[in-house]
Amino acid sequence: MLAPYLLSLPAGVWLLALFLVPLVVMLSLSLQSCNPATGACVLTWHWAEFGQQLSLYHTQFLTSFYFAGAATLIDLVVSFPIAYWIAFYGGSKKNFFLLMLLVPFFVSFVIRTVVWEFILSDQGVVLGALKHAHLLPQSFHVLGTGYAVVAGLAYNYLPFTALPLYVAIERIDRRVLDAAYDLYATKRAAFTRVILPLTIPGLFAAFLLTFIPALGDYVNQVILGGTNNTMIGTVIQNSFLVTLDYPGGSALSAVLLAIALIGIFAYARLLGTRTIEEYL
Amino acid sequence: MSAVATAAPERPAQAAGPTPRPRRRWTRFLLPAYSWLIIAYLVFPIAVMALYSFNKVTTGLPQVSFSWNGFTTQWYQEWSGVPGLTSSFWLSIRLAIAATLLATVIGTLLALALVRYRPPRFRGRVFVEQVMFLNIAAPEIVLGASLLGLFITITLARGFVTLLLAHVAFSIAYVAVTVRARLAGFDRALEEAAADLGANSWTTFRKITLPLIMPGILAGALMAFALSIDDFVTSNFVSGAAVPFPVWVYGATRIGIPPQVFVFGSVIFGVGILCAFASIVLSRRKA
Amino acid sequence: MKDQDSPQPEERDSHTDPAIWRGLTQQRLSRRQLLASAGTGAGVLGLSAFLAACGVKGNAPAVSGSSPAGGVGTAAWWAKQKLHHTVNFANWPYYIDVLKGKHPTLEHFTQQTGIQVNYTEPINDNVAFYAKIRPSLAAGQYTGFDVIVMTNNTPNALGYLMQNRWLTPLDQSMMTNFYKYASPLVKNPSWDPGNKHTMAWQSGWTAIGYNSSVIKNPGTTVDVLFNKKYAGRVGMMSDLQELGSVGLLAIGVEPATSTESDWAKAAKKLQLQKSDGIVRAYYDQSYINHLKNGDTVVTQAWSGDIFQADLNSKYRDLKLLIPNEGAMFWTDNMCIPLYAQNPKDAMAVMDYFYQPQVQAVVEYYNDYVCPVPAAKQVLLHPTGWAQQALTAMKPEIGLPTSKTAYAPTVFPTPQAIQHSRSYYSFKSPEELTAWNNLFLPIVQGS
Repeated sequence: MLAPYLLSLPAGVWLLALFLVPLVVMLSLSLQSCNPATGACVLTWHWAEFGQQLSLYHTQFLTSFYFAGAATLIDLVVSFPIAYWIAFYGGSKKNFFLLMLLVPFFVSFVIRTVVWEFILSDQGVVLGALKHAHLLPQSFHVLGTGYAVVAGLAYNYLPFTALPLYVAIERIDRRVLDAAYDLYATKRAAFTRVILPLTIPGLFAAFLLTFIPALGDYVNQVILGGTNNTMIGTVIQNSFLVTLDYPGGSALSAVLLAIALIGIFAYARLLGTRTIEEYL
Repeated sequence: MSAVATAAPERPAQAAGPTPRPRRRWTRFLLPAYSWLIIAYLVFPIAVMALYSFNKVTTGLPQVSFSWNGFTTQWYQEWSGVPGLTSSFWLSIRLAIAATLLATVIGTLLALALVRYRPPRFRGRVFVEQVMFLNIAAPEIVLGASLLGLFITITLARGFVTLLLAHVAFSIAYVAVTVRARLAGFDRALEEAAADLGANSWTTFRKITLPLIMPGILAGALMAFALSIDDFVTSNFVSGAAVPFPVWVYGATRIGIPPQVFVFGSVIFGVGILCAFASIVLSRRKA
Repeated sequence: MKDQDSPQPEERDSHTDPAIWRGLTQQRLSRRQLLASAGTGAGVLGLSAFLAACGVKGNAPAVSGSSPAGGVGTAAWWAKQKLHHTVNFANWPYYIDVLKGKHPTLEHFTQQTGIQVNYTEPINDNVAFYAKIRPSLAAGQYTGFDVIVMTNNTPNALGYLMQNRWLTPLDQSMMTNFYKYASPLVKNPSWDPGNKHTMAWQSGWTAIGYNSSVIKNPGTTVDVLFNKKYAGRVGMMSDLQELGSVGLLAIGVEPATSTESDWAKAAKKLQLQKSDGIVRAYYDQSYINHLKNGDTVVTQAWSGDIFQADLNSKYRDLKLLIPNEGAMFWTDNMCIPLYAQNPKDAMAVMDYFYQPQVQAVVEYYNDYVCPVPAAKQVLLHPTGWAQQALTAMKPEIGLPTSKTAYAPTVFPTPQAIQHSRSYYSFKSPEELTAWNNLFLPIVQGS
């Protein structure tokens, strides 16, 4: 019957027209040669563009992997307990806590960033107090380092990790846990041998949903970073908005998207097709 | 999966079985404390912003300052003092509400399709999932630039409509993912029971399915709202003369951010908190 | 709004050749196309290939070897234009007078002329805005804006607009206020001789900001930015024009007359500065936050930012240093994009802002260089409408108008003018690409 097709029709049409088609055209730019002044482009099948961009910016790709990876791991570790607590002990206040996780992100990132610049400044509220108490050397600084970038990424992508984790944990059938306790499992065993394995697909999904966007992020590095930790997102941003090198920027974006696709295929492979349907 | 998964979970320790009670109390304190700490950390910069929205401004162009000059409610009284800022704020609100409504409906329908139907009945389902994931993964700047190119080609003037089209486009996938996760735990047996009792599919949907998946839908809607109201990159590309709030604020940083920006930020945050408390009241009523 | 105790440009031996004179002898940008775009027949962003494959051709761009299509901008063309009593003015946010949710100068303009101004603030970056309107211009469509404001040191925004002839030449006959009142710094400037396409909105200097409580004696040259003593606490700008220009100043070369080999040398010096660990980061306009917060002690800085900061007692130690080599003088310019629907109204509003009374009101709110020196007298002795507006704004600004009048960075002294340096004017996209390739790796390389 037509039911699945009808249900997914609005989304399908919308995404096709406003995502896929423009995306494909934009990516085809990576094979074109453009006049940066007028924006006029000619399709020249310039495959060498990929090689050029990768050789120029492989360091930035690696930097992005480190930072995004670190931030995602931090987010996973930080989010799991809170997702667990909300799922199991949230009770009627579940929505409240989920909202509290999301509400700070209603406030524009420009504002949040300006405030973080202030909070993390060398003599600011946090560092200044610590330095005053001689807990930190005077020359210590957070802003302008890779640590600040990772911290910023972890902060800004926390909901991307916490929410899928919460959903995954919340879906665990309590009866399975009851069965475990019936079989005289300790609390720890119940956790490590029942709950944790059941959340692994969710963990992987949360990882992907955080890592991939973080990989393409640029705001955090620009605001909080220094001179030696440019991420690939910044390079792409500069290509589109400073040098107007659309082919170069598109080529780099294509690589990023390829990485994302590899991620989802790996997910399907490792966890089987059935699981991917339930967690994305 | 039964209705158990959709109601408040029972305390596992209360089920039959040996439970070390002292440990439970310890976990009962540590986990909540930790969670509140994380929430506090998330909220901390917002609190700082709210504090400095009451900051007096010394002479010169009124702009936010992190040097404390004294308490004043002046900026709340003169909240509409900067015309471009006020209009961009209202634009963002209207846009976010409209985009949330559209994206939630479309995304929920998509989630329903994805959860209930598998290949071969639903051909192309894997493709749809991959597209959704790509949508989430693609760098926003690519989405924005490509959409601008599309709007130019079809000579659609940049304005509210283009913003709305773009915002819905990047929200659908997030809503679908969130709702679908909720749906996956939904027990079809309830629907079948309703059908057995003579309800047609629309009534079943309205009276059984919808209320039970509403928490998931609300979570998706919330996600869409947050994405829309905070969006900068895509909005920058597809907006016309009237720009949304984040875009205006970013442009103002070249000269100086007016204090009213912190006022608006605090108000948005305050409204969000109110919604959070409202959700407690609502869920109490339900139970 | 200037603090009268704020720093004066450093006294030193005067240059004999002010940059302004160099600018007058600057060659005008000549047109050259990088790739033959005629083949595709469409200039739309990448869609051209797709469309061509589908057998659909976009509109040909207006650019060709000759002057703008249809004689747009000629005297005859202007004679045919009529007022439509509406104009779409796009500017940067927070860059015009504001009073209780309105713009006094715009309201006064509407009163005077009956022209309704749709004033919006969608510009937050020159190149980003250019990228937004470029597809419309390439497709021969109205951008939605009659007046836009672009900075002169953006070869890949204003530069491209002029190269591609995507600006409507101004109606010189309607520029009566401009020619009567404009300052020599913005009349006949190096990037637009004869003011054929632009009229300045506001200007400013990119010089050096430093914390005087940390750096007691910064010296008088740009070398303070390269001083190892302040390693890890120096801020540089990420804008390639600003960065490259200060690099050129540092090796003793005038940016306006520099050559490609000069650029390479400047890039080497900047790269060395980076590898020596002197630079903390390359900042966009947020550099001022870091200077205020104490993360950097010396940085490339805009004149207006330092003076706004100085008005706050906590930041009074922040000072502006205009080095011997000079400070880069930039200007935000009003211009009319091609295919504007209300060009005559655009001319009217642009020229309106050169009335001294009007500039006085704008300037009282702003902190950048005023293009109308006569506004100084209005600020000192306001009359009529200007007096009303200024008095109404005073409670919020909190300063007497005389403070703005006497501020040397609002109404520059001849000394300050002598210190002004022009940016390099690029003659072709290849030159710009060469510049970017030299300086971009410094900012985004690892």
